[in-house]
Amino acid sequence: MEKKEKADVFKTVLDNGIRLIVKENRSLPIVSIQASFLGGFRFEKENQNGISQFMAVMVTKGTKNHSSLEIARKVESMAGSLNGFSGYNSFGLTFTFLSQHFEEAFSLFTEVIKQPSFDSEEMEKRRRVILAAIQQQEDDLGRMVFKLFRKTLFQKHPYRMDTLGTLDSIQKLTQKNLKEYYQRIVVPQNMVLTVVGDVDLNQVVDSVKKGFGDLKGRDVVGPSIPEEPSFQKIRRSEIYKAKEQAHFVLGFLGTTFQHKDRYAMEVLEAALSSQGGRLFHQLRDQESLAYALAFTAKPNLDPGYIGVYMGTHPAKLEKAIDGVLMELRKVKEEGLREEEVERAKKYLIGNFEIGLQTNGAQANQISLDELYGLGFDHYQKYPQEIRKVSREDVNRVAKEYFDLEVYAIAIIRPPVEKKE
Amino acid sequence: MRHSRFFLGLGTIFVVIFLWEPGFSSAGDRFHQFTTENDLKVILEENRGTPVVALQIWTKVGSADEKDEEAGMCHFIEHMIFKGTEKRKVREMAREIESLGGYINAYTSYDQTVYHITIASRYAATALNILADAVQHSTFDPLELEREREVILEEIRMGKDNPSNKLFNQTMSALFQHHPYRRPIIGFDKTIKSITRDPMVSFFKKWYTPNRMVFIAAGDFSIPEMEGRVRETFKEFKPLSEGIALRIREPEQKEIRTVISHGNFKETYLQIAFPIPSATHEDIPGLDILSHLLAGEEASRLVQKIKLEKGLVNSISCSSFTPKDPGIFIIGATLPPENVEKASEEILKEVIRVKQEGISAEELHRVKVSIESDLIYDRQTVQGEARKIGYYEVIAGDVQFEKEYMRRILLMQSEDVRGIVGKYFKPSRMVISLLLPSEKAIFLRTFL
Repeated sequence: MEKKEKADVFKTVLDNGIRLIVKENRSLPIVSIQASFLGGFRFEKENQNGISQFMAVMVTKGTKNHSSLEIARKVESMAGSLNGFSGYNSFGLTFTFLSQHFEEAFSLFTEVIKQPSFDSEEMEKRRRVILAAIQQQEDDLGRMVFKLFRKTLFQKHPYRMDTLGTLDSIQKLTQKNLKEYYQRIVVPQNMVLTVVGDVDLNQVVDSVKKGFGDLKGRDVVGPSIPEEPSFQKIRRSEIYKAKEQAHFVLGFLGTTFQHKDRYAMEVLEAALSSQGGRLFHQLRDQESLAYALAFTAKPNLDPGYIGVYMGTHPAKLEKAIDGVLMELRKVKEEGLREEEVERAKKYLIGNFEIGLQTNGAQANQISLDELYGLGFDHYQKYPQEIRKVSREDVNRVAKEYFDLEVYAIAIIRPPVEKKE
Repeated sequence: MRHSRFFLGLGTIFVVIFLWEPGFSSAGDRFHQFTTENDLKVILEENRGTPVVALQIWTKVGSADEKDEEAGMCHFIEHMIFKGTEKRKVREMAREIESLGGYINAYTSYDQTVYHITIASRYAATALNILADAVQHSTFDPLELEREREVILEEIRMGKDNPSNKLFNQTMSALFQHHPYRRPIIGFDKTIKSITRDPMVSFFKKWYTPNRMVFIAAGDFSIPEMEGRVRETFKEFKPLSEGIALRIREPEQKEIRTVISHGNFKETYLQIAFPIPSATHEDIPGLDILSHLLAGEEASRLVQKIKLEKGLVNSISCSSFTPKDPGIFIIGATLPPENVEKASEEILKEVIRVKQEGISAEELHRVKVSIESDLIYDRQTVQGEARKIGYYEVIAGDVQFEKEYMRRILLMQSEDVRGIVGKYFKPSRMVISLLLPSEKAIFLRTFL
């Protein structure tokens, strides 16, 4: 078992390949567990888009021995919260509960992961809800414009899809599809189990060995990801919706968790996305182009995206787009000032630490870091990695990744005939 | 130390579960509260768990304190506070806090405007200075005011495109026909366009005074040291006792109200609402229990019956909103438009069923556990703690409120909740508020 100095974070690997990480935190009688698997819509094919999310919904809705309602009641009686999750790159479950219920909670957690029933009647109920959620997405313009942006930026990569899936793909998924997919993803070598909170390390290791030791080992079948063709020219997608505002996302391909540019990219993001940063200052404070404005450049498992988002008055749309291009050009050509970079680094580190106050947040961070190959203790190294980033690093990344001749832009706007 | 006890008395079994005895044994030990010479209320909660601190200033003024023609003034002022004081130019406060790794923001509600910072505890002194500067010395620069006016108009537009926001405002203006809660916090296009600098500065000077504020700190600091700093930092702040106009009381609703609108949306949004008392009323614990029972978790009645069993709605929720003055109980749902009538019927049937059949001991226990444990989960973040303290002090008027509130929750019985349903959920008091997709406007005719 590896032990770290700063905080007691322990990692061990079971015989069948399950990685277990435990961090004791006795300050409150709360425990958070997270089981993470590589998956998410990165693993999906278009005709089964949304299967991971459907699985995440279904996994807590019945096992061999307990119905969906029985599970819900048990969880509530432990003052807990049990949820499946699915995102770009991962699938899993989280369970937070009061520590006095550890044994019962862990037993339920094990049962849910090992023996989900994917009951067909339950599936139909949930399918209906997911289909409605896909429809309802169109009422959330911020979400819609990012969805359109990813479809525009990524021509072949699975990141062009959406977590929820499409009306078509969700309609066609069968119980058999879900069961097979589940068996593919939920294998010990693909599992990282993290426990944070008011627990005893030895008791946890014991429980995990007993509960998951018999899970059979199998090779993980990774996705075959088509190669993303290179960007040749500006890609612009536009959808018309008769609404009060226009929304757009303008951006480029980004970087990965493992890439050397990763930390500099995050500092660049912090500099440009903060309230005190230049985009907010120029585009909102000075020019009043938007209330909602964001810059995002999150690294991903495969190259992610960089994007500037704005919600603006339709009459200001072209001006806003020009404004964004101008600001990005300035950053690319002149670079950020030393003061901006230093402030961004401090902002990033400080908010990273603030964000890790809860057991659940820690379990999530540790779990996914380990899953993505960064190491379970990456969160302890993160601040010093950020401190190492120099102004030159940040400006180099901006120069390299902001390609202003060849970018993707997605727009949702009222039809031009709309009268004021 | 956790323990449970069974009490047998009067033929009834009371199951009282103490989930957790805090390390600090009584609420009094956790807090230190005092009022400065210039009438600023200060509440400090020390917690050395993580090296983070949350500092908040709660100003006891919100949209409900505005006159109709100045609707949105508080929110506009909130925006302007970040746009410069005598010492710090536009956005410099945010930059300073960010350069220290912190987070700064604010929000305006019906009864309060809150400025908050979360930051590493070693920078608490700077954060304190910034908050004190912000609420005392804003310059309301005329050019910045014009710029910010445009930003707020954009925010209003964004709200109009948001169906949940639109529906909530519709519901509030239907249930409150006289009381200022009927107005949206952000105000209206018309009022925001007509607000000028002089009235804004007068409003600011009248309301942003120490006697109308509460300063809260929660997290990693020493109480005596923080007390000293707070007294020192705010010592020049002059109190002002100007009369505050009483708010119009909402007269009793005599008959059902229905309001239907449509918009360019895909989903149909429904709210069924009832008036309820304010936060400290003795019936509120029962209403909170009812709210959890109906739609608190997956195993709740409305989720199980209306969403899953009958498949009438796509989502369903329940909340008991208790601001300073009498509030509102809302059951909300998203659903296919053709189900509106049936779903409303079935929802109301479930509510009445609580009155007729009561709640089982097991169900009641689960709900109490859920409510009580929420308080423990809140303690995980300093900003969550600070926010709670602010709510208790400003809305409930007593920072020790939690203890009394939990005592009442634990004593609630099935008969109490039945009584509450009978008292508050009468058809004559109901508001039905509906937002339909434009192309489904045909359903307007078939509904009520």
